[in-house]
Amino acid sequence: MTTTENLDIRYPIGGLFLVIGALLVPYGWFVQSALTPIGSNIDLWWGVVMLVFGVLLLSLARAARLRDARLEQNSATSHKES
Amino acid sequence: MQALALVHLQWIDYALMGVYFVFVLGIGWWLRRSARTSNDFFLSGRSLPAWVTGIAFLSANLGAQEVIGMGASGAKYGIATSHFYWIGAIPAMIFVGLFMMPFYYGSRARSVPEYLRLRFDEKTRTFNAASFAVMTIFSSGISMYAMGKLFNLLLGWSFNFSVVVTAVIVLCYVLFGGLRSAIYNEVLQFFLIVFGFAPLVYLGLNAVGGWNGLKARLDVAAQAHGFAAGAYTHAWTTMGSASHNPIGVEWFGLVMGLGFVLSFGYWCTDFLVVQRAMAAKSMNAARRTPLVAAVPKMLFPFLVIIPGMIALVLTSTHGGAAAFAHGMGEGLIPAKLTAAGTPLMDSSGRMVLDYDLATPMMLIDLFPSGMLGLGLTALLASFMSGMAGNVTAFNTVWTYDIYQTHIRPNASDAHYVGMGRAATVGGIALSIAAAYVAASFNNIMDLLQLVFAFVNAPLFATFALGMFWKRTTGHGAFVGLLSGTAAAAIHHGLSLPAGALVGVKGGYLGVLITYPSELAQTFWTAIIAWVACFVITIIVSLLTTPRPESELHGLVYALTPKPTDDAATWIQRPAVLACVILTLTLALNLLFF
Repeated sequence: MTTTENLDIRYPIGGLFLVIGALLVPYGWFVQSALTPIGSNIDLWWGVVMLVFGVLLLSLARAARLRDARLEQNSATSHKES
Repeated sequence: MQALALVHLQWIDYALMGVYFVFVLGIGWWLRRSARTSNDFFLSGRSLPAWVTGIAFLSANLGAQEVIGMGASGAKYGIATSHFYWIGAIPAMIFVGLFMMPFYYGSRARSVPEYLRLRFDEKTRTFNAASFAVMTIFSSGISMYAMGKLFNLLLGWSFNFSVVVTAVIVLCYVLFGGLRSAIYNEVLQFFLIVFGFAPLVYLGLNAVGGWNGLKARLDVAAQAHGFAAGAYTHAWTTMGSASHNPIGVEWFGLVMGLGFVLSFGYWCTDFLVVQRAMAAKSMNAARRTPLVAAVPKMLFPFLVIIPGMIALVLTSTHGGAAAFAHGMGEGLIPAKLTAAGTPLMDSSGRMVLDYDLATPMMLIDLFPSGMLGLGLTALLASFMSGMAGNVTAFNTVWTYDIYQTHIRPNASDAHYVGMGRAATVGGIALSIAAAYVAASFNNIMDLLQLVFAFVNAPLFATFALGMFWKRTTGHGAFVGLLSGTAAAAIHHGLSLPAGALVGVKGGYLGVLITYPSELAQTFWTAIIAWVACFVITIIVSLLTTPRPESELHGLVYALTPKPTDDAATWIQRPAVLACVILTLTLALNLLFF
């Protein structure tokens, strides 16, 4: 198995929401703020929520990869590359 | 087709859609090397964890019919629409996980029709495979047609453009990465749908004064439609008699027809969903797949039904939506128009509403630029996940159950992977053709859906007898299935829903029975089909020679070792998970009683 085949689904999903959040937050801040009061600026607030969700998934995926790498190092003696 | 768009998108909306397309295609590209063998391409190497297959199990079913259709039903029937989830899905999902998955996954069958081959015989498998293959093509085509029409109406996009773009994107990612790519994209689409629709519920409830405000407004609407005040906001209190609730069904028909026959027939035997569980990495993960799916399924009414309920009682604040259908309609939902441009009236003189527009109108009315782009992207995602689900199920059944069995057995593995890819292209091309057929002859689609309903209704009787009664024979199963289908057609031909005309709605053999609603007729047709199949299968089985027990190990309950329920933690045990889900579902029913 190569790493390509082991793509952790949390990377693309986290990435998608990170990008969506990164587009919506400034749009809400600079464009929508002229039209709506800050409290009901859904682009801004929901953008923040999605940004946080994206970062969370990415860090979970990263933590899992680091843990796997450590485990692999520990059992390196019995590990065989296929 | 109207060329007038209801809403104009800003650059941000297009940017969000573009980002989604890039990620969806990116997943397919990333996985392009992981689909070399047929086991990879059709079964994703049986390597996925339960949470991934569980979400895909739900998402493959979360097509346009679900998001648009459940919003429409929410506006039409109110909170009672949640019966399609709490009665019509959860119990069957638990049953397939706990009791049927050991046979599907344990027998190493590669598809549901192949299980029928192992358990019964070739003719039963071919009957199931052929009807399933035709059905997936047409349901994917109908869904494409609905999408093309909707985006034409909302955004002014040409029908050809929306159909071809979405079809090509789905084609690319299924072609590259096979089932694994479809499943990964289904998981991504699931989150997108949740994040795209959750704010709609929040903004909608805010606009009508919360749940209590919604209730008060729906009480008024219910009385205007001739029901008791709580008819739209209580799931059970008006189910005593068909004439007291907007669904037009009494509790027995609902529980037996929807909750037992139709729901078990779909969730327990439809390869579209079962294929996701078969891709799981272990027996435990396969059994947990439908259970993991049941948790969000149980909460989905809040996401997809409530927007429809709100649409019925919300006054438009948005020019575009208000101007549609000359401002005639109820709440945000426009009236259906006749060719002359006047609102269509039913036989009792009430305006006929275009309920399918309930959820789209909510999106347009409540979302500002930005969120609107996300909401529409979520809608596109639901169309795509439904289409990919149909296409991956189709290419597997075509390749294994039809091509390998009847056309070219004993070819190389690479040959079957190539055939799977060709079937993906062919399946999508046929779906597009079906979408154009639907666009030109609407009645043909009604007729086809009717025929599918006849073929599907008896299926669960065949599977239940096959799995739990070792005496069932192949001849019994085959004759039983045919009799069930015939019984459904005869019952439908002898009955008619109130107010309908004789024809595709029934009554073509003479009207003996009149039902209060089309759903009541559907549920009772299913019940009759199931009973006919069940009884005939038993009778024919007793008259024919059973297969020796030695051939049935792993295929029948009595001859299969019970799956061990051990797992790392208590919550990973299928039985424990099932009890938790059933308790929560019961609590939800009581809360909205």
